[in-house]
Amino acid sequence: MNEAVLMNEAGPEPALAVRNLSVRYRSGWRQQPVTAVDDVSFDIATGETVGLVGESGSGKSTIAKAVLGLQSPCAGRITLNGRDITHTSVRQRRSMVGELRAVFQDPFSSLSPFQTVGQTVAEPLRRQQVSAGRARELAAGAITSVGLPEDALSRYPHQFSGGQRQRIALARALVSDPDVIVMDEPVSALDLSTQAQVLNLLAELRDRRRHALLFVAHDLGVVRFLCQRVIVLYHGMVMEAGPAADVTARPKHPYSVALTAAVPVPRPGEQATRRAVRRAVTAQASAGAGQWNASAGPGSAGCPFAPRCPEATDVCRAQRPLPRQLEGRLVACHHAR
Amino acid sequence: MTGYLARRVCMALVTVVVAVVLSFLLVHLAPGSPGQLILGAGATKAQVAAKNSQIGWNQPLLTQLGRYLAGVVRGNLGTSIIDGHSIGHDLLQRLPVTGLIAVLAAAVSAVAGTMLGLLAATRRGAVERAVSTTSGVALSLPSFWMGVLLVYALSIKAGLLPATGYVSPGQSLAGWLQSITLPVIALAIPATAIVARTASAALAQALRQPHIQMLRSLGEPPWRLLLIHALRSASVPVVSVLGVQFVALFGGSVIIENLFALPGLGQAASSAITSYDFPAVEGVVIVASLVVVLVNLLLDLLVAGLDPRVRAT
Amino acid sequence: MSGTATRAQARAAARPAPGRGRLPRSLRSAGGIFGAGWLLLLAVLSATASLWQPYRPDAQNLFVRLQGPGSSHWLGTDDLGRDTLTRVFAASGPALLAAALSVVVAFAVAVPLVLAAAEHGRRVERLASRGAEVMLALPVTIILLALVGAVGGGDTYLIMTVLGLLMAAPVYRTLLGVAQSLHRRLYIDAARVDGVGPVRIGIRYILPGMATVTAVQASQLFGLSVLIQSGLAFMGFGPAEPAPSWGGMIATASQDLYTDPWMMVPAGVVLALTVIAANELGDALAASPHEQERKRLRPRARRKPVPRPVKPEPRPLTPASPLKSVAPASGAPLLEVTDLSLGLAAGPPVVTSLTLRLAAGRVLGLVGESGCGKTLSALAVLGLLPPEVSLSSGSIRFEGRELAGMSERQLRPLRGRGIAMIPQDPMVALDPLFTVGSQLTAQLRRFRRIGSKEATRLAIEQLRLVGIADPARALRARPYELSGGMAQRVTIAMALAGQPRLLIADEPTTALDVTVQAEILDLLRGLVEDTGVAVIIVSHDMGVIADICDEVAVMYAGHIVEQGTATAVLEDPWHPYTTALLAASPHLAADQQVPERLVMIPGQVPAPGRWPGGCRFAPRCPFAEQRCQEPVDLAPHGGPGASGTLVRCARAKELRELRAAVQLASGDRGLAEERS
Repeated sequence: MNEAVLMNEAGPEPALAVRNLSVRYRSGWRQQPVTAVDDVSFDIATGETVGLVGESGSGKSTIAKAVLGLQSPCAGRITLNGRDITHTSVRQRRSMVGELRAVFQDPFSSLSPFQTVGQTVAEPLRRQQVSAGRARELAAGAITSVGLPEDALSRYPHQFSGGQRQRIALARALVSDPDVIVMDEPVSALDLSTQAQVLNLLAELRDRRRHALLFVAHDLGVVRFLCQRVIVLYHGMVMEAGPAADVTARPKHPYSVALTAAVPVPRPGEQATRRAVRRAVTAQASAGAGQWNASAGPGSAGCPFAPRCPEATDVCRAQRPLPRQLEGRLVACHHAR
Repeated sequence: MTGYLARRVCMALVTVVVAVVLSFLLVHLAPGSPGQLILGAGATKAQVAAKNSQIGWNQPLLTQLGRYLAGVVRGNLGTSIIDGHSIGHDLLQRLPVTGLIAVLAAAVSAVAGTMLGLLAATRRGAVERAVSTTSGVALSLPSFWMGVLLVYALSIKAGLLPATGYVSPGQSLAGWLQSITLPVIALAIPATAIVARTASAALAQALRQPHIQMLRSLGEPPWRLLLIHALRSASVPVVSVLGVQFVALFGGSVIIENLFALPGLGQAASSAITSYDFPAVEGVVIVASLVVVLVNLLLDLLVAGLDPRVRAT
Repeated sequence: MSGTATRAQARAAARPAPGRGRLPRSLRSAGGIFGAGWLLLLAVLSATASLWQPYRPDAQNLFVRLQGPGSSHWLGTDDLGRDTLTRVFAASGPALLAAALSVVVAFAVAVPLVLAAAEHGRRVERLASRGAEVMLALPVTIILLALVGAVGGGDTYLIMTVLGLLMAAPVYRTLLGVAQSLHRRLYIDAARVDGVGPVRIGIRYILPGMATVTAVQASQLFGLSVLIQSGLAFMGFGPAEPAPSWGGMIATASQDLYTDPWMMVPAGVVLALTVIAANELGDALAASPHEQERKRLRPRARRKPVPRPVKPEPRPLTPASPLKSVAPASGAPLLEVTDLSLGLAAGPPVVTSLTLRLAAGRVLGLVGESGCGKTLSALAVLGLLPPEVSLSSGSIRFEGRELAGMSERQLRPLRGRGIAMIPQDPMVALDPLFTVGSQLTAQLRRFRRIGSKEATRLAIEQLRLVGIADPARALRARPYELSGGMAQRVTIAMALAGQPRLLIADEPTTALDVTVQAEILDLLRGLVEDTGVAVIIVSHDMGVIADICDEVAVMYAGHIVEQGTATAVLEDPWHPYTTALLAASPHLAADQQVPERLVMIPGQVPAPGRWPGGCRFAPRCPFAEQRCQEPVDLAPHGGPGASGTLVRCARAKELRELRAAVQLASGDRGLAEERS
């Protein structure tokens, strides 16, 4: 039983709590089942912004989907304000609209082209039996709070740019004043300058401390900017978790080290240093690891990063490390210090 | 591959069974009975009942179906209630007439359609538009009307080809070709148009694919890009559409047989229907379904050979 | 996104605003008008038949049988003396109705099945699809004949209903594909999170998306139905006499071909026109506005004539050393692009006055946001521009040879041998049907004229040199079995097969994970150092540029705004756009503090055709002044002839002095002040 959970200091009930979440699915009807998420636990309190960061196959999007009810977990518990929402029906989801909302990655397919912006933003309220007039009022408030004019409500999504559409998606999430907002890579599809606009908006949201934000991203720089805490995932498991500034500036887990070294910054001098670090690390790691598409079988014992880790030893390959406390954060590594 | 083959054969068998059962049901659920229709309006109820029990009409449906299927499996399609001849024997003789015409029409449309598609894909602009418009018209033309027009133009007016009559290939190859040219052309016109459209669209799409662009950036000559790489990608939808077209061609061949006086399945179906010879009608359905399903099976295997990703389905 | 952003912008700019209350654009084509018009005419004529028909359809007059067109019978008469004109149009009503019936039945069966299959997951879908597959394989005409055998040919409506049931299968198959792709859209996920039930999702979100395909299919099915009906009638199984039918009339005509050949014409023509109309209508509906746009933007007819057509001599290749390449005389630039301009055929330029110099063994980065023209500029070097974009002026000299204006045939020997491309998405850049080995060896054999055994050996060498751990296994694999990083290494190996001196990489790491990206960038760097190959890399990521580039050109709205060494441009930018872009990036060096807010650039990048007359960044620049309304040249910041970064800003020097003064005044708070 995984005891080490990323919990806040004893305080009020966390807005969102995930315990021992595991998700398995089959990619094709004759394929082996893939374990996308393997025993992941974390909390988010109201007013907190937590980042789930990882590369493809890390399970971060699957976790978001499981929280939103789009994927069914095969083990574990998800609670929202203390209420168990691990397996919910459509009707139950309808009643949760005031508490849990989502923003998705692709601004071009996350808004229905057949409805006006106003209809899309107000729709979650209609589910809650809010009157049409009140719904319109709230929608207007939400749309202006994300920096768009009120007349946007009567227009169609295709008349807006990608950045504006993400803001509309955010307005749709905010309209019911939810407790938790799950954001699945909301800025990944945007240009740099548009991304900055939306990130600033999200930073304001964070600073208001009204909601619990779960922010899924593959970009460590974005997570560092926006999130207070970060959870680093690899092959469906938590590698390291802790305050964003600490984890990104002084990573302890070898994977976090590799990840931070790999993210390029627009400073040639700095990049030259990082390249030297990378070369040293690659020289040590076993060649050819992690290159083939078939997963190493996360059902197997041992640390999933062992094949690529420069510090891997036999115990790493034999026994999966449990997250342990280390300098104010959790690290799942036998050798980190 | 063997798994795919097994699955395809299974589906083929299921299809034939469904076709047979369907036609059986259609025939038996119709109002009236064979006895009534054979003996005419003047017959008494007793005479009708006697005729029906003679045929075996009064037994429960499932029994009749079971006996029929058992017979089919043994190769016995029953005997005609009109003149008592063996249906299977008769249809087997007629099958090559219809079948070869359909196959030939399919082959012609495959070749001509692909060539037109290649033409449209290589010469964009006016040529592409011309091919598109002409094929749009051609695929709408009814084959039987084409047949009539061709008979008038090439047979009556120009005297080039015989209007009616059939010469089997065994008797005289030249004669056979002469007797089937008009029906094949009539059938092939709409089919060629459809193949041309499919080929043109598939080729255009194939040429846009990133791996073709990559090869182009490496300096592969355009004729290789088109004829080897793009054609291979495009061949899958073209072969698929050929399968569909063969079914249509078979049906179309059946329709025009009376026009050209060809002793094939269509003629058998026509006369069986007008004389209420139900076993013969069912026989036609079985034979036609078998042929169509077999050809589709072969084409499916061809597609699987061309595109290994299909084998997982 | 090879230049698609730029082209899409230009197209949007060129497109006229959609009008409301007019015919949908798809129907305004000739085919659409004809199709809809003819069917409408037919429907009206048959509905009002009793008002205008000169004779009754069954009125016989044996004295005037088998007549050709004449004054009393416009379309002649048939073998019983009945008026053909009347009969042809009298046949149309039932024909149209019956066809409509079969279409309605087909969709009434198929659409609910599709919605159910798309929403309820695999098992339902598999069952329905297998069923549809069986139905699809049935010989429709034969089954209908069996039905006719049972009920006689007279009951057209029953026959058409059964036809509709049989046709539901192909409709199901087509609509299922559409519904499944709609289901993958994120707004469906959003609706599910909101607790919208499956039925409502189907009706509210999926159905509207299927509208166009439904209309297209319905038209085609309508035409097919008319054809099948007439075919049955031709065989004698149509509506009972004396009711007229087109097929029946053609059959009658075929019996009197010798005496009255005209008779086959009216019914056949009307029948053919009806089916053509239905299909044309379907085609018009299928042609989306994008398709029509594409057809309007035709490629330019002729390129400019080449000044000195020179045939590139085949370079002696050395099969023994796979990656060693011969560097030309040092100092002479490998690639010289001068004042290059690219434009859309129908209109505005997309890239203007592009000037680059690249020497062997150097890496040049083209960086900018989407729509700035960087990808098109890179593609132009190899002549791989998309059909609607062409080179309007300028020169591209590679190893002294002028490439601009060369035909495809002249450029081809250079591709792969002198210059090669590394694609953006390696998984789709490799042929999915063939093994890695067959693709790589094919290229090696083509370039080096070696046999297959030698090529295999060389391929293994190449793969090892690009960092693939188990080359033999990789050779046997198909592209979809590889990871993204491996696939990119394979494409790099393929690009190097002809030992090119210049590599053009179009966002080569965008599709890869960041750790894999780092490995690929290291690989490229290594290749440059080992073999002296030059690289042009296109990217939107400043970090990638900082990692491997020696020189950088920052592009905005089709031209370069700042150009110099990577260190100079990225550590010490001169142009306000470059500065803003760097400040908008959340990627910070270890020593930098996380800012409260990122710098935002208000407004949007202008689309081609909408570029302002003077400085193109002026509308969004916080430092714009009156003189920024004038066009600005790309010039060294230190004045003409000076060395150092080139910048396209009238106020560059001034702003730098301003910043220095502010820094001095507020105690070196760095660029943060100016940026906020």
